Amino acid sequence: MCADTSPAGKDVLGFEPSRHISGDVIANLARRRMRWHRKYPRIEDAQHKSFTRPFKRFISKGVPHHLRPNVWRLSASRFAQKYNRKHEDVPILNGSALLQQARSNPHALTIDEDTLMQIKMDMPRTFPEHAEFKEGAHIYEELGHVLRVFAHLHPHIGYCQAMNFLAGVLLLTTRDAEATLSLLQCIVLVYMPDRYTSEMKVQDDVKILQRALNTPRYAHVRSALEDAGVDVTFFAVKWLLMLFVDALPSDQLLVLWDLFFLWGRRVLLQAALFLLHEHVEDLRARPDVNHVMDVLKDLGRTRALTPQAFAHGITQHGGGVVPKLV
Amino acid sequence: MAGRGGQQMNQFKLVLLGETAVGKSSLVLRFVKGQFQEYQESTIGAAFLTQTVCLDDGTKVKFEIWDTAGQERYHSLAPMYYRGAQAAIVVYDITSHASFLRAKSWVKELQKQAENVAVIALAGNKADLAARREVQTEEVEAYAQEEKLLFMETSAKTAFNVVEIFAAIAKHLPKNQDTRRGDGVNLRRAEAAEAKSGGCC
Repeated sequence: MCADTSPAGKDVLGFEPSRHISGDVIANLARRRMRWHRKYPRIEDAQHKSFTRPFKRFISKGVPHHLRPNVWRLSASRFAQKYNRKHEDVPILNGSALLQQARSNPHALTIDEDTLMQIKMDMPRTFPEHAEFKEGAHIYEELGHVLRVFAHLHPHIGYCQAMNFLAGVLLLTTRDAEATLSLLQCIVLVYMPDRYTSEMKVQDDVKILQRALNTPRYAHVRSALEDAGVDVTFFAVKWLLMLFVDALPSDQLLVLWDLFFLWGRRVLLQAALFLLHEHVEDLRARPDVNHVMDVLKDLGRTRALTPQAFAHGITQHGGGVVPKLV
Repeated sequence: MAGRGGQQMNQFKLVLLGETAVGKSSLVLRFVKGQFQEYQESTIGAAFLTQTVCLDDGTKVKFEIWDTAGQERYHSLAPMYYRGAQAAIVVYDITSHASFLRAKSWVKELQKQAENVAVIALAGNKADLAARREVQTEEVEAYAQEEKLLFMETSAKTAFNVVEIFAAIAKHLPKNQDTRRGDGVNLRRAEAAEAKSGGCC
């Protein structure tokens, strides 16, 4: 089985590809796949795995796409276990029985009217261009089930716009509602606490980013943004709440999520700094708010980096300014 | 930020507010790109776009448009986007009375908090769905007059009154001067529609 292949003309998640991926990046992915196969032949079904340094290094060099569901689960479960020990009142739960219920008898779930309505409205507004998110398609229906069961399990959070896109990417990657539901719980409760409630603590993350940009190391980025009259808040809120969905092409997005599940929320801030630094010439090309926002909206226009290069770039940024967050 | 350009070009920051799925992003998409999508992706945080309109006296007005997320829990982020705005469009859906009530509370908040906002416009969107109307035009007209708001019913789907509402705002913004809180603008729909729609830019 090789899930790195995708429908004709589409990228690995089934979206329109935003740019060409060069032969050496593809060769690199094939090489990594072989090495994973040799070193961790049973990882696809492993229930537990100790996170040794070589294993973490392997993840940071890029996870073959068909191994992502289990590698993400293994990464996230380390955080989830710690979380569940501390939060016995609202733990992360296995929702397979509830998902079954959502499919056969949705009224058995207790969800308030507003939340139900909001989910219903947002379903057709989730990747409307994507073939698998058309009404009646399997993935589309599962999206509704996942969001409704989440709202049932965690009424204090219910549903927040952005969760639809996160669940969407998880479904396209894992092809499984149960895996999606537990990873979504991990993201919303553990990795990004209070980011999807009216507290909107994402503002704290934006402040960290602003502080980082005020250090001499990022003076070049800061002046590029200032010259165009662009404030960090213009783009960072969306980047962080969407975990860069929409801003990065699928291949790069998934590498970022490999690292996010492995290291936690700080990866998002480090990635923001790295991406700003990496695109600073583009940003400076025209000190105009439109131009800068266009560059930041679609970071996929530049060259495709190998997962290693991307991960390396991320680790080179945010040292000292981005605290260990999760 | 206003009047940054030369004599002919005026630049204004405009923010769109309103309940979720009333058509804020669709109005902007129609105005900026002349397009409509039945299902518009939900906006997270806010989206930024610009568009220029030409008034009949030849004045060009460039809008920097902030299109915000509608879900109530994003409320605490809204000041980030309306701060410094000179104009606001508060959108409701004519088929949802709840969305009109929400629009009223946005108006109140803007009047209290957004001191640079010189023009507030109220857009009753989805005018093409008149058969499912829940909000009566007369009710909103009376309210708009009382609060000194521009008011139009619009349809992003059919393009009805979309350019017109932006042009009406452009017409009533103080041009080529420092931003000051303007005197409230009080006009009727007929007058509002006078401003010539763009297309020359």
